[in-house]
Amino acid sequence: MLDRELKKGSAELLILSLVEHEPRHGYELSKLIDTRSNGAIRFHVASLYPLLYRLEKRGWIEGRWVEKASQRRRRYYRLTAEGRRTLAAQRRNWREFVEAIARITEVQHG
Amino acid sequence: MPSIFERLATVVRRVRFHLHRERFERELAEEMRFHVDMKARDHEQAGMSPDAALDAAQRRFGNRRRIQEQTGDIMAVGWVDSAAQDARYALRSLRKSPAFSVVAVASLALGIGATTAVFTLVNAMLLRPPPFPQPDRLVVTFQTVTPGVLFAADSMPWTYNRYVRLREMVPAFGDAGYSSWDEYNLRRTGLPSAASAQPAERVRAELVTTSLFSTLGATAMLGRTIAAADSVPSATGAVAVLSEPLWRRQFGADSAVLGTTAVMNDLPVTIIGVMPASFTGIRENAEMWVPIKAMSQLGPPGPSHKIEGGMGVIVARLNPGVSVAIANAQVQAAARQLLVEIPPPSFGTRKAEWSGGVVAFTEARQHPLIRPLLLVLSIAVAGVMLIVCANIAGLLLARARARESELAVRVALGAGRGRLARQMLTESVVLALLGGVPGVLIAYAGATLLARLRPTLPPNFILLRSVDLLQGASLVPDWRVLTFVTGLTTIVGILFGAVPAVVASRASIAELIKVGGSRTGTVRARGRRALVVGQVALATTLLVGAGLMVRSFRALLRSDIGFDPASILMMNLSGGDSVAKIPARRAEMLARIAALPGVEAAAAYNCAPLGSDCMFMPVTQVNARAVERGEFPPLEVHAVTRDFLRVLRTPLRAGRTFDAREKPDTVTAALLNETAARLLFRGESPIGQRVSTFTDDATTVEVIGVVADVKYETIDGPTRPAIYFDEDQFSDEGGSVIIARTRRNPAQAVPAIRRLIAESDPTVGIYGVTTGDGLMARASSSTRFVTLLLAGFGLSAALLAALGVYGVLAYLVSQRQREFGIRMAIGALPSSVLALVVRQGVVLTVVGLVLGVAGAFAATGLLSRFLFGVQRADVATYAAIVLLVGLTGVLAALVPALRATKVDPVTALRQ
Repeated sequence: MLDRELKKGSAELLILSLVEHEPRHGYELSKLIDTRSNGAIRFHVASLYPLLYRLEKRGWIEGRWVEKASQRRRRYYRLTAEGRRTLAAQRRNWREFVEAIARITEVQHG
Repeated sequence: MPSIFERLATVVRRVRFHLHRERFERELAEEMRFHVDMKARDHEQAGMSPDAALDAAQRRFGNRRRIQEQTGDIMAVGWVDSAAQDARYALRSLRKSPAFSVVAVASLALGIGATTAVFTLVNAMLLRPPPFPQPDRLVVTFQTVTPGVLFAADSMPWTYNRYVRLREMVPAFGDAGYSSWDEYNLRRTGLPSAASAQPAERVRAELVTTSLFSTLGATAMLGRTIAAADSVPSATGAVAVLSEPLWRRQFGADSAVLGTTAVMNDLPVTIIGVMPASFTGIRENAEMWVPIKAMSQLGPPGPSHKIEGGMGVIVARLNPGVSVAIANAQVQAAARQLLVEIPPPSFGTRKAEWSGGVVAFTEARQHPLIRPLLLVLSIAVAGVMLIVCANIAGLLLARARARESELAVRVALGAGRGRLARQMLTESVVLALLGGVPGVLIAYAGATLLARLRPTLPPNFILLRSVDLLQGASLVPDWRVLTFVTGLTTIVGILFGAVPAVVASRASIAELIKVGGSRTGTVRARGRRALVVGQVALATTLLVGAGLMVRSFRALLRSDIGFDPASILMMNLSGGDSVAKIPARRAEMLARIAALPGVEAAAAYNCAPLGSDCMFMPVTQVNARAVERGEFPPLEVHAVTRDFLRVLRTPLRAGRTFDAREKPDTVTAALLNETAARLLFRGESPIGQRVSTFTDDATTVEVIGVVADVKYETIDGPTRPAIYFDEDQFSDEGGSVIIARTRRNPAQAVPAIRRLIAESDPTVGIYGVTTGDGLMARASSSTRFVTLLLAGFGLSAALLAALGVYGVLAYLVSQRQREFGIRMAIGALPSSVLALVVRQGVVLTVVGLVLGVAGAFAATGLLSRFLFGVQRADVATYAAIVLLVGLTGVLAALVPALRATKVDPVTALRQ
């Protein structure tokens, strides 16, 4: 189980990247996180929706109800232009962080 | 960086959330339900039963209600909600420190109340437009003659004839009206017999053309105004329109007053209308309006009571699109033309220059001293408000220190700096608003009280008389006052809240956790010291102003006015058949008054001292020489009875006063005052020389004596050269002024004198009863007004500044308790600790004094029109105030200093 601290900081990054290429709804997002991390990250649903709304309030994602003929309607979230920019920045920060940690740990061991 | 569109989109989103909150909550619930159902379906597909699947899904999902709330919170915390949250928090925290809150709200209420009270006066005197439609289109015409008959440049009233011609000649005037004025006796008729014993009341009436009402756009509250048909005088009398106060006072506010009759002098008038309370006529204190054509019927025959020769004011409404400048040029041209058509009376060989013009109506109504007076008041009260703000800022800073731990926790919990600063600012604004509400009430009470002081300014002869500054003005807060209060409160809140807000936003956890001596602590302390220095400076400036005014007021009361006002009684008589006119009857009445117990002497005058009511006549001859126009200023003309010098206790400087040698009915003798004697005879004795003030014949009179100068206008105004005639010789129309010197309290003699006069002549009206002290009070009322206000403001400012000094030093002592304890433990004398603290206080006070004295130098320029007998840079006053403020500062410092010496070294060390 990954450390809680890491999870908190990266939650936003996760959501943003998951909606980068196509819009998704809340349940879909929670399932994807679960499957793609091979169960390492399990998002508590209680924090999912508040997070989604916080991101929406900041203008990084946009939620819209979609009604198809055969199904009940569901709310899809997609990335906005500003969200795209934030995602790029957060990815960069995350990468730098991971590399820095790696350098430190490698030196110590090396 | 988000672009402007993205920002806009965010704002729109938030607004939409607020509007559709219910819908949002429903949709969120739907979304969560969907999530649960999908999860349940997954469980079912994995093999669970439908019920067990749903159960498991719901359990996994958790508390939907709480999620809903959490999400709602996130969406809802937009600035409106966070502001409301801040306000609630502010109220809670104010409730927790009641002592601070009460002191702060009380000082704010007083400060805001005082400032708003002054603004109410400014509003009533300056800003409120006159109650006519489009008052900016109204103008008043004037004409001046240089050199004048009376003054260097006479401002002439218009005669009716000229008004009629001017109307025709000036195309810029869309409508114009003419108004003359005088005082008459008014008696109600048609009352049940018991009430008809009412004495006549003296009223100020305006005699107007019907076009005056249409020009102004004024309509009656009851009935109607004067119409064209009414303006032709008939045998049955004339019509009259009442003012609202007169209607209330004399006619019982009876709505059936229309059609009733009254008698003005000897003319029956029918009441046809009542004007609203806001309409006070052209001259701001008119009580009745009658048609101008009734003028000749109202007064005794004589040139000034013929309509053609009357004196009046022309008010005109400009045609749309015509500027005042154009109207001015047209009137000037017309006036030049009229000079040829209707030549003015002239004497001497020099030709007179005639000019005319127009001036905006609102400008004409303002007394020239109003602006300086209001400016002084406004600046003084602004100073007090600033000091109050400084005090509260100081209190807030001190309080912020106590809340350091609370702030630290909030920062640790993730509160942003901006949020904290906003919170502090909201607290201040809430505090200010709490002070503002009682402030409005205090303002209304304060303005009413100020109005009671009845500041009166000397009459403005130039255009329109406006003496009593607040006559007819309503002090009820209108939209302007309420906007001012709201704006002031918000600005004040932000002003004194800015300091703690900035400090809070700079708070860092590390700093806050440090024990004492933190960097923010130093910033705070420096901030408080700066505030105190500012307070001391402002207080000093105000007190210097107050000191100068106090000296002016005393000088005013002590200045030589040429007579002794103590135990003098004055009253005006009007109308009547005999007493005021027939010398024998008058002499008899005066003798009887003088014989009353408690009365020393009595005399009659045509104009009273300090009354600004005298007439002027030009000097036409000195000995055998005809005088050039403009060579001498005009003489004040007095017609007096024999005992006048004794009554006034005015010294006789040379020669003799009037006695039995003066035969009645022909003017043969005159007295001059010192100024006239000096002016006309340049150092030679005037006794036995001859002068003349008469233009229609070559009568000269002999100067038989010289009396001391008496002030007949204002206490601080110039003394005019004056000539006195014996009233028996110099026939005078109109009212008389009775002056009596009493032995003790003049007010006690009033009923007896009234009875006596009524016995002599029951038709005469008595008005304007004053004592000498009352006269002096009225003449010095504007000075007293400014003095009282500045003294009040100055003393409050000094008190607040002293509190400020005390507060800063008390804080300092509490911070350095440990240090003082150590010092005394290792042998320092308590007196050295005392000196240390007091020295800090002295430094603050001295710096404040220096700034304050500099400020006073600059600011007292505003007072120059009100100072009398004292220089702006009066050293004694400055020295006294510096001493006063310095002592106050030292005393304020002594209290915490003494407390510092009482610190127990052992306890201090243990801390």
